[in-house]
Amino acid sequence: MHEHSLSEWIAKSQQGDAVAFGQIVAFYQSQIFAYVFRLIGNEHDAKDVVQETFLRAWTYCKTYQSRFRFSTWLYTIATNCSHDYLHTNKKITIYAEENMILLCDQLTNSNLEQELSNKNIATIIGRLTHTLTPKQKLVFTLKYLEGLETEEITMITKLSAEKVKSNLYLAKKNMKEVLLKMKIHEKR
Amino acid sequence: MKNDRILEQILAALQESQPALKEEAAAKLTSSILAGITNKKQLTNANGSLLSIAKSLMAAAAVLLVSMFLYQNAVDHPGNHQSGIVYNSYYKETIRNYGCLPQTNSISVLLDYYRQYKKGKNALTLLREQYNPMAKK
Repeated sequence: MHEHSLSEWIAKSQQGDAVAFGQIVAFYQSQIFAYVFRLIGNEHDAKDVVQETFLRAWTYCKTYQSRFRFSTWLYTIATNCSHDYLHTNKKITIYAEENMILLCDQLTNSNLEQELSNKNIATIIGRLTHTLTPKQKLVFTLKYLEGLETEEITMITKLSAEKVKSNLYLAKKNMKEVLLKMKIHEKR
Repeated sequence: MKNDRILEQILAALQESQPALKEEAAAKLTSSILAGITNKKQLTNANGSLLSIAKSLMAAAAVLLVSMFLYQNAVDHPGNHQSGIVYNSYYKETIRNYGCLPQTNSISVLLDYYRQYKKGKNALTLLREQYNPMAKK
């Protein structure tokens, strides 16, 4: 997609054009779903959060400033929606004691059903990150799973670059401890 | 160190595999988002017209209240409702003083009144009685 057409869609959406906003939804929906799913770990709830994200984006699209990247702005809304969801629905998910390496191998298998693949992703992330604080999980997801730069993460999370780095360091440290407890290296 | 390598592998696998919806579910999600937007748009429009109706009603209510207040005022102070004079101390004073002055247009009479006034209070009273029909009553 050209940057030109995206900015055109955004400008039209800001003037209340629902069709132009539909183009934006179609373009970003899968990316936002992937992000929200990685944070929430549940397909059904992730769909609800994605819907809420785009509704908020539509409501506040007049406040979007073109000096920021549109994807960063959407990520910020998705983060807030996910945070609200997790705050109100404090579900405790118990992940099965499956072999992480086996799950990872399954992920790379393209013949798998998407639903099964999503389930595996949720299980691996859930087992890896269940000891992390919400901030650590957020910066970990943005950095290592979404592949965003630190500058973008600071804009989305409103944390300073130092805080982002320290949270990432602690997240990795915690995850290594989790792996150590699972004694994965012995099974390998 | 082995754990580091394993973690890197897991993270790489996670980054490679993008969680996604099936085509049908994705299309359903898109249509429900768009339906939500349309509903929200209609709701906003409805809210806008409701707001303008509410504004008109408030203006009408304000006019009604002011009218009621003026009417009540007129009932409470009959005869004085044409102006706010009765509540104004300056006008009150003027009216009172005007009642004491001789009711005439003649300059000579007024000069005579002034001279008597300068002489003393008794002369003034006399003049009042002489020229002011209200004072006699």
